[in-house]
Amino acid sequence: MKRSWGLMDLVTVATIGIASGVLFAGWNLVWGAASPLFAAVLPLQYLLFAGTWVIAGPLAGLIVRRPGAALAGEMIAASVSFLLASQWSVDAIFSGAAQGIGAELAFALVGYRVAGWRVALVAGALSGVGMALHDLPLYFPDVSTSFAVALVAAMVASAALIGGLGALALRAALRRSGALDLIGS
Amino acid sequence: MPLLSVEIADVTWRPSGSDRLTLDLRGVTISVPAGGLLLIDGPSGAGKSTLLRAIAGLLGTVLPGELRGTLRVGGVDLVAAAATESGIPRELSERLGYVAAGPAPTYALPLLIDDAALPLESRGVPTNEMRARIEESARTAAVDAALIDRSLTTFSGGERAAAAALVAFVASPDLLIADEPLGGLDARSAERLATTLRESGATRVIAAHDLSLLGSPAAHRISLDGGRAIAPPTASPLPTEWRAIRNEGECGVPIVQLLRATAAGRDVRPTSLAVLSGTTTLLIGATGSGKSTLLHLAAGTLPLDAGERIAAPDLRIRFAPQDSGLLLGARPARSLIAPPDAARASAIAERLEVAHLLDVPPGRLSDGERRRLAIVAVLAAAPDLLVLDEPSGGLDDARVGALCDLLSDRELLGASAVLVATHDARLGALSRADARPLRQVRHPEETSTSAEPAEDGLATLLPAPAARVAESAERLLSPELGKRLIGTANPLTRLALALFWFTLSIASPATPVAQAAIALPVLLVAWASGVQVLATLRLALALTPAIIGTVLANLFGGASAEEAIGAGTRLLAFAAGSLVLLRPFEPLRMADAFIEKLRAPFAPTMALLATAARIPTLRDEARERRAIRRITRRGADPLLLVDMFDSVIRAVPQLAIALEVRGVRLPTRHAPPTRRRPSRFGRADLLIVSLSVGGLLLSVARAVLEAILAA
Repeated sequence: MKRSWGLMDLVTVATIGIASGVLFAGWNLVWGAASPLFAAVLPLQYLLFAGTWVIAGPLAGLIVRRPGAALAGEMIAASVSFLLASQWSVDAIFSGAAQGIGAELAFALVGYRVAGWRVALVAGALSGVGMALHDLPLYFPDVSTSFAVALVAAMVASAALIGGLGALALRAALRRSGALDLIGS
Repeated sequence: MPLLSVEIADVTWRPSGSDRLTLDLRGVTISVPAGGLLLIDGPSGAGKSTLLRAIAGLLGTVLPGELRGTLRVGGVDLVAAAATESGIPRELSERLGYVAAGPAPTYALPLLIDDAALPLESRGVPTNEMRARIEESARTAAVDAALIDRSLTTFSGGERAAAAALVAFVASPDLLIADEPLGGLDARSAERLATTLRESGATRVIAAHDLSLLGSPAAHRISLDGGRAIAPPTASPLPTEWRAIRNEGECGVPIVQLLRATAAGRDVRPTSLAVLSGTTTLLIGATGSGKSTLLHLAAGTLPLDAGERIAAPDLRIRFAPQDSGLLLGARPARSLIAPPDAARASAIAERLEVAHLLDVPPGRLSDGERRRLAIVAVLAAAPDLLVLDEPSGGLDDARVGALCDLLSDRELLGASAVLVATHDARLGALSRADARPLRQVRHPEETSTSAEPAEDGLATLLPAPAARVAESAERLLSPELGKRLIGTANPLTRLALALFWFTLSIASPATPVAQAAIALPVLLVAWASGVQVLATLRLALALTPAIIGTVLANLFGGASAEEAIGAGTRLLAFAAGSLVLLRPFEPLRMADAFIEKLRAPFAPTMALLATAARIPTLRDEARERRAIRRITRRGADPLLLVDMFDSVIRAVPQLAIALEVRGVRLPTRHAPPTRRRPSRFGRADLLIVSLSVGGLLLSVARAVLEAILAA
């Protein structure tokens, strides 16, 4: 397999990022609408919903095994969600970068060679770590330590399960449908 | 420069992920001299497109897989070139023109003029010559000059095919490669384009399932089937007789009626139509005459803008859209068929020769196979109303014959009403008795029969002064006025300001006053940059629960009331900042600005932005897919997400090819020497920058004031 990026890889990562971005933009609204309901149990909302926001990184990394694919995928998705509708403004891009770097690390650790469930799970979890490192100081600067710990745990778990394993399931479905053969993944 | 010759010998192609050769020309040698013509025919799925892509240098380079044999274009060995890291030499690829028609979008950028300019930009054609060359190419390809500045997303299937030819002609190629160039065109446009292709001086390689218009005694010819060369069929495969529908004395009852119906955003006039049970209605019309829109209106998959749709209660409707992928999604056709209909489905699939494909995921199926499977899926349900949009697209004559048989088999159809839109004369025999020629709505000068005047919207219904007030109110609320006065700010300025306001909000304390001092001026900047008031309101609506949620969460997390409200207000400031860049959303201007001002690499930027420009299409498709699924009453479908990703990834090779054949390729030149739309800064930028400086001063004043009060 060629190690360098081809036009097909570029378009694939852009496509995954943009389709995920459209999904994120819708998810932003879902999140916003659900916020008042979960206000008293915010960690639970993170556990149930937050993982969707990191799915682009693991998905791009799993499908296009090239350096930078996961980071680019998540950042493109975050940018698109910002451009379409995001209550977090430009910060969506920064949180996308933090999450994407997390996912990218997981793929870099295995030298972009393996892309099984373990890598997917770790990529998701590290995206969650990125989310925690970005969100906590910015949005919850004054909360108690126990609350912060609960939030971080919820973010990492949600990102690993929904983001990581969700991306894996999505890739499996796309592989079954034959779409991935067309792009040589 | 001499024209290009093409030599093919023993060429085979195995796509990655497949264990069989989809093109196997072992023992076949074809040599086309410079300026010659090679015609390729064969049924759908025969490997015509694959051979064309091989000649265009796309196999093993853009498309992954294994190419073997001898393939020389203009003396360059493409098989050897594909194996190298740099691929096909740019000097060669710049001399090719590639037309890919068919139901999938084949453009790279949404506006036809941008799309056609892309090959010129990448070849370094001076900006001031571009328009003239595009217009000349439009005349050659029989594209209406009025279409040049329009968006390809609004084009009909046929107009899109003509536009694809335009883009291939625009750089005056020495080798023209055309895949079903006449697909989707009505008879007159097809004839015009065929003449152009026949008389062109370039070397041409043309594939079509019907070569009758393109034939020329001097042509070389190869017939394919199943990826192999076969002896050309000698006799005409046209069935000698097709049965015409007898309508049994108009015995049907109306099940759907449209009364002067129009659709929002579609360029069609009010249309009335009655669909009777047990009858077949054929909508025959020229390319772009609004057939598909009418089908959607009748099926109820497109909301009415005006007029009325009366449908019988509990009507069971099935719809096979022009793009079969919207119906099939990522799953085998079988999943769309209810178990009780399985036997019926098998019988129908047998007649369309796709029985063995019912359980195959639509991954590697050809367009024609997918189309036939979609027809099986909708027909098997024995619906009250069966709607078929261009059911014969991509099908060869024999299969169109089978389709006609099927659709005139009243024993099979029962009381189903069948509504078919087609430009294909081969389907004309279906419904001689009931053919309904459709008005040509986009080109009124060509039709004298259209009797219904166009609706003029709200303005004509209101008394004059009221209308004027409404009109000026609309103008004030829309960004058009500001745009005319000062233009639109450069996307780079807007991005920089969005970042600036974000940073200011972060740097300022999370108190309600400090954040409000940011939110208010940034809203002013956003409006000055051309944001609609309506967009602001919509955002506010989405934002309110998010803000309430953030405030409550901080309270429960142990923050004080002021801190919590401050965190909520900061969210407001962020959102206002995002508005600056949010609207107008101009991916192409942004790409131009990035390439020109920030020296972003050309190919990756264009690839990203060409993909981003597909977002509206993506949303329309999602809406259409949902609408089509809704009428089949399948309820909420968790697999719709998979379907969405499946359809966008399926479109990746087409987009990659579209970019490659327009000269947007890797390794990239850093910036092409010419740009059709130079990126400039102007008065609008000055205005919003000054407003932002004012906002900064306000925040500084606020901080100073607070410090004094604290002291």
